[in-house]
Amino acid sequence: MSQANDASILLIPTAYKTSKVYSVFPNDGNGDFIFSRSGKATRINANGFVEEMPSNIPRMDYSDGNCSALLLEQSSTNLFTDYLGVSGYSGGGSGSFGVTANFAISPDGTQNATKLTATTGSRQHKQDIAVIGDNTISCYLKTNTGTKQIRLMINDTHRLTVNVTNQWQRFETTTNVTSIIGSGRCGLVSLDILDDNQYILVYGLQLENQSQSTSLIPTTTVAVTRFGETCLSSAATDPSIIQNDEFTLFCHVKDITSTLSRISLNDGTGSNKYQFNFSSAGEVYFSTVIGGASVTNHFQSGLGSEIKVAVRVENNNRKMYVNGQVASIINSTLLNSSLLTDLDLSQTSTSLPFYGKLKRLDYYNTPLTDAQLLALTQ
Amino acid sequence: MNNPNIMRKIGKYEFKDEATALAKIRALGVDTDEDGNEYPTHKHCVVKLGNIVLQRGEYDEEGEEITPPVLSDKYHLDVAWDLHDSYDEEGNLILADHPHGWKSASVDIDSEGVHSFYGVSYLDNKL
Repeated sequence: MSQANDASILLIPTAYKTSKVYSVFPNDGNGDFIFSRSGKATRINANGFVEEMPSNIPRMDYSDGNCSALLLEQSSTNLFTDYLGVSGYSGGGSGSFGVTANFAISPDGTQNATKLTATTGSRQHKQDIAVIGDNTISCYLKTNTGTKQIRLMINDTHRLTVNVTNQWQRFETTTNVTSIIGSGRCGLVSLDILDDNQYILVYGLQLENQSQSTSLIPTTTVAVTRFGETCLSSAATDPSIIQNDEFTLFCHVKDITSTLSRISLNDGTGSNKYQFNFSSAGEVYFSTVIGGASVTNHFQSGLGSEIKVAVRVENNNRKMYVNGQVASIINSTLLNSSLLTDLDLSQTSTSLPFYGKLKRLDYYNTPLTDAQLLALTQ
Repeated sequence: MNNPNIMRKIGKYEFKDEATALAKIRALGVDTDEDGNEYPTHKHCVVKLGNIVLQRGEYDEEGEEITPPVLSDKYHLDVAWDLHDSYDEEGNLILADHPHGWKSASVDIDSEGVHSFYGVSYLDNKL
């Protein structure tokens, strides 16, 4: 029998409806999460296509393959005014690209990919849109046949050469801009000759004022902002589920996109909470906060993009396992569990949400054994 | 009839400079957690547009500038407000309005402008 069958709250994100993500346990609905996002957003669906999702519909994302994850993202803006790379672009360097709209099937499954040709190297297909701070350019590219090289450009000077094959791939590069150079040119720069026999297709051009790319934000004539998302308040209708002095909390997360990505058992204000904090740098810590003061911290760094972490909380004993290894053991007192009211994918219902992919979240109302913690996190 | 539960109303704003705009954003509310991390205490979505392009520049085939772009001398923001209409004691609807100090910086335009929110129209949800 699977360990998961003993969980008081078990979230394996697959089932959802408008404004709700269903937990597997408890099956009376008391462990379900309330989801919120104004406006639309895109995901990779089960068929591997980019798909637009309506307002307040959670995104089960399949960009990692057959297993879905709940994708939660911060607000972000695509500064390119046409994500298909057709309108509003100008040439530069040694000239402009040849552009043919709606030439081939794109990653969204429709005939809207743009064909690009360039009769010489160093031609630019760009918009003047770099901003101060982190800039990340991303786009989907493929050739009609063979392999060709092209460069992604940010702020004129930052250029990344990529090898484009005959399979759609999303490429990205990031740089920190401290001053605008060359009017802030961002886009593509030709390297190999591209003609009607061997050309490149482009889709999903995106420039974000972020340290890494987020999901595709379509644009047609102006820059567009996708709203941030929240997923909150499991156990709020029956807090007794989480009001146990001794318990185990397990998370399986991936591709964290924020330095402050949190999952917490909290009192609604954040003054009293047990909390996981994940960062995009591959770090995790578990903290116990009592009366607004952090009294203990388990910290583990140097992790990859995928993290499985479990913490067993007992009186005078915390033990954290990360990716199949003991990360830390700390002696610490418990907070008053009767204060706990919510399990949030966030610090509290109003601040510092979890941003990344959540593959699983378990809450056990008993301390699991070392062997069980090991099995969960391997 | 207006729905009191509508979550997002959108406004466009211009301030004399970036510092003034940032001060207004900060006044919407920030707090600091136990680790010293600052975070907004509101759920408004504020997008900093800066000195927006009023008229695009013109460039030749090699990308050399023929006519420079015309930039606004004002600092621009788009805000999707998390505001709620309410009712007074007599049951009369009170439409949500700008937080204190924002209305005077509001601009009213008849298009989506140079920026929009994905799936939420400014023209349909104008504050």
